[in-house]
Amino acid sequence: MSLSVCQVLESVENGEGRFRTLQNVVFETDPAGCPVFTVSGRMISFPVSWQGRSYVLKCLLDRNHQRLVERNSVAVVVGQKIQQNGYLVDYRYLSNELLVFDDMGQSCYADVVLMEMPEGAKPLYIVFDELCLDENREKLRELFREFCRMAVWLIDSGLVHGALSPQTMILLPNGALRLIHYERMRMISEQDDDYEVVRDTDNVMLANMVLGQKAMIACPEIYRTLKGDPMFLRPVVRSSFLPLFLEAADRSGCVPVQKIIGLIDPCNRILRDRNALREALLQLIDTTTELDAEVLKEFVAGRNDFSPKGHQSNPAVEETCRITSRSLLEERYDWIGPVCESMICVSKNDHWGYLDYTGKEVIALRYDWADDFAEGRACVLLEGYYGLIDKRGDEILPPVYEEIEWNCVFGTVKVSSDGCFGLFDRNGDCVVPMIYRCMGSIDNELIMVGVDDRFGYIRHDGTVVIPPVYDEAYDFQNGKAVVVQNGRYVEIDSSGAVLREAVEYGIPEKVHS
Amino acid sequence: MYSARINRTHPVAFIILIDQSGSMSESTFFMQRKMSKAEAVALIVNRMIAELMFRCKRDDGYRAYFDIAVLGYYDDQVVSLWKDAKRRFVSSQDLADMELPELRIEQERRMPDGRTTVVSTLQKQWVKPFAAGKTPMFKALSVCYDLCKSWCAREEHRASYPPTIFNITDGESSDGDDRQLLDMAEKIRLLSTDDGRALLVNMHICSGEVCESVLFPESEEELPDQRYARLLYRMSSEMPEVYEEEIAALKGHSGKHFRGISYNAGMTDLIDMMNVGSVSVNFLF
Repeated sequence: MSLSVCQVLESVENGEGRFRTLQNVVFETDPAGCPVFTVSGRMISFPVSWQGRSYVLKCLLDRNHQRLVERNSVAVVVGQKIQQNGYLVDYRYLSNELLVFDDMGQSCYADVVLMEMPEGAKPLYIVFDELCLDENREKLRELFREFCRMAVWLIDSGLVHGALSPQTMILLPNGALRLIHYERMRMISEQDDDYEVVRDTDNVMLANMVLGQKAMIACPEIYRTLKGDPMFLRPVVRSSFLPLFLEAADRSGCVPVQKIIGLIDPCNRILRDRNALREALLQLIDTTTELDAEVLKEFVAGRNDFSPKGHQSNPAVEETCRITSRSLLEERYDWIGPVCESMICVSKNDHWGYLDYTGKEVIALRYDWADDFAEGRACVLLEGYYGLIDKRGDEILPPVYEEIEWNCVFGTVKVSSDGCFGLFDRNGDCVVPMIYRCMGSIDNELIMVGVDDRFGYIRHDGTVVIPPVYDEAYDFQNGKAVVVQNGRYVEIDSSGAVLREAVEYGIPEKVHS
Repeated sequence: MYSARINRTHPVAFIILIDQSGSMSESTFFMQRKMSKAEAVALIVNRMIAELMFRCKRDDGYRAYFDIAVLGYYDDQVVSLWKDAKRRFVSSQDLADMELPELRIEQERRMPDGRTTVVSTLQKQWVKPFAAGKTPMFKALSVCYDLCKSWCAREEHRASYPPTIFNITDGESSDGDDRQLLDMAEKIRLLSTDDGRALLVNMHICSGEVCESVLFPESEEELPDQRYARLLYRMSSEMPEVYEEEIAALKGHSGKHFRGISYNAGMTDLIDMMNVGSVSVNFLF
């Protein structure tokens, strides 16, 4: 049965006899003596101590979610492994553990999860924040190596976490990483129907996080942009940052990063080569070559001054802000962005909003992350979903999308919801309905789209230029794109005409002059 | 449709209409004891509000995921039942800050080893029981329509999940004829956000201690062959597909096109109905 929060709270507050096996669980209480808890849509979590250690006791409210966890039966799957490795916190799945009653006195047992939360542990996203603000490259490097070791272990273990992100990893005071919230963790095998999807979700997240961290080490300022980007929240295949990271890797000669980008770049749905990813991770543990900092710094600075019409940022505005209020603002906010189109993005206690150039708050700090304005529009994040706002703070697109990309040159917004992609214009009017299962970069005239496992190209107005006839297709670069048709890699032009044959992506062999 | 995610900028609205006419002072059996229907309904509504509130609790406190209005109707009046009766919609964040008396509720629990214990819980009293006079349901629906209309009209609610209205009653309307009630109910059901039309769920509770209740019927034929039962059926919304699994679990069999109405419902049924219509949409958070 589905549970109510009231039912669970009654059991927690009247604990005697309510737990089937757990003894002496001590719930953290507020000053009024009530148990401290938080609720997500499907789960209620209590900080507790048990056997002298700190845990989070989680109770699943939703019937279907209970079934899911039971099916995956984490404790059974990884029970032995927990004892012999250092990357998972202690985690117990306790079936039929908590006795709950409804208003009519009917009782049932509910499953609970007991997840260790070691003293002094910090979620990775907070660690990133702190180290990047302090520009502590040395600590970032140490953390990065630990991350790579953890990633290699995860790949070797055959386990799939299922929800990797900076929110589901913690750093212990001794510098060790731990994975948390692994209710969805599974031991997968090639016989599983969803083998590729499940495995590659983890692969893509690992790859994206590796690239992001490598960029942070070279240029800590970039984290402000990365932290709210979908690539750090969801397994976004081919993040819009890839070209930037590749350029930075090319310039410095950081081969493992080039390899990882090479693995992701030809992906529309999956990161196929898990072994190659593992090899690149091992190389990254040892390499001392960083990404080219100048490229990344130029990107950060360029965003601040970016104007598609070639306008320069207004020095008078910058000066006004700098002289009259910048120092005051620094006392008031944790983060102060640059002046972009007379607006300044700021954050305080991880709430983000905007000031005008005089320092007056014009869009309340109500977002979980916010990007700089470009051509009057900015992407914002609220409770895990992205939206687009204008300079009055009005929603052009509500924050309900899993991914968002705003291209102010074309005036196009690419969004995804429930795994489907579509395009909107700058006014929030739908241009391309959410019909595509896959969509490439919107920085080109032609946009790669996938529908029913076939790939083709559309324009920004939705016109189909090359129908979805290819087995695979990749973004256009310099007027050419690589596609796979009947198992053959070929390079095509913007009309779809075949120019060359390619052995595989990126290594075209000229067949036509 | 009916898939909007609930967040701070796109809250969802609940309007609870409570019949407070004289007949609500009749007794019923709830939580292992005899009490008036008005008391039982107040307990259930308070529990539902508490549950909605708890669902809004995050690390940084209670979030404004819900706008809730509770209106009582009796005699010829329709009144807001919040402590500050001038307020209609109150957000879950504001509700959390309200200083209210707490009611100590004691309930008997039979433990697995056969022992019986009495547990004591405190519940905030957002709504207090009251019963007097007639049943001005038409007037209540009219007020609800205006309230709902203005909520839907606000630009920031366009992308929100549409409002859900629970109308809890034990009798027939003392104002408005059937045509007027049907028309007003239809006007409410036609109100919408971009995510769908408002849902009007009529919950008729039984007057006796033993009831043959009908919940979420798939057709009029499931209801007793009575004019009032059919009227309530026609006044109620068809429940969207997203609720079908929960309703099927409640009814014990699958089905389609369930209508948001209970007839002759007991107090347990009332809880089940309200759970389906409120927190079962929690997957949208």
